[in-house]
Amino acid sequence: MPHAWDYVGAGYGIATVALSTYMTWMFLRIRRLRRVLGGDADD
Amino acid sequence: MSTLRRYWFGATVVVALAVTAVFALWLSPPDAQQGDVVRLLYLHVPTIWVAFLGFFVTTLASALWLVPRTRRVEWDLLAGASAEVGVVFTGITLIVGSIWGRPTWGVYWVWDARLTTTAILFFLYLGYLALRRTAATADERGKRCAIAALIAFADVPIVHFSVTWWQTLHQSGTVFNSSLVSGIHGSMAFTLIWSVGAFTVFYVYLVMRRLQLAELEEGLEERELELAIAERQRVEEMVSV
Repeated sequence: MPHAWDYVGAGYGIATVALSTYMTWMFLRIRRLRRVLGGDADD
Repeated sequence: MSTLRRYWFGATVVVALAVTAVFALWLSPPDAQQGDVVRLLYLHVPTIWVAFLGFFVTTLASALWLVPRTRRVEWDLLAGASAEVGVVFTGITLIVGSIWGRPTWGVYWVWDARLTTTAILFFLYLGYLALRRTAATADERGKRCAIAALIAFADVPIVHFSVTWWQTLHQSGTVFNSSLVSGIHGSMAFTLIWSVGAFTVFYVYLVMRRLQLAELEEGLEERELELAIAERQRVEEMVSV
């Protein structure tokens, strides 16, 4: 099948970017709220 | 869970997903008909499985919240956390499925029964997440959201059985079909099973972290409420003086 790897790359690439963005948002918000609430900010 | 254990769990998830990538992209062979495009299915299948699992957990937690004897705020938070992770994975399922559809079917999207019901599922739970953000007392909001979660879950079996009930473009179940005979073997079957396991562990990790964030958000809300009450009392005292 022509260009098969282009589709595979697009699929895995988009999934990686989407999950990385979601996790980054979540971790940054956890860290910020921990600071605001006076807890430890270890991650 | 302690910070150290959380780090170890996170490291386990990273390793499990890395092994998935190695098998999915290098070690498993191309399909006889689909060629290398089949590698997208090692992402497509686990993400929808995890989304179903997420929505099931949301339904269970919502039911536990609705029953007065088991009502705890943690169930409501778990329901929200699991639904959000489920929505993320449903979105990825739809995108990866569309990318797979282009070389396989010749189109990115078609109003096929499976695709349509999955898109409805995505928007149902987006609506559920929007409902969680509406202004109301915690009890009112919890009740509304729990009932909405129970209703939304009705679409999950419809998505699953859509390929049996309506003979449209999407192929019927490869593993969970009526004869329960899997059509895949060897390293391809192993890759699929491994990726489902890896994504399940990933889901547990994401829900744990999202739950942690939800608890912090609850704490912030309580603190802001206390500050607002204190400020109002201060203003009232000033006015009375």
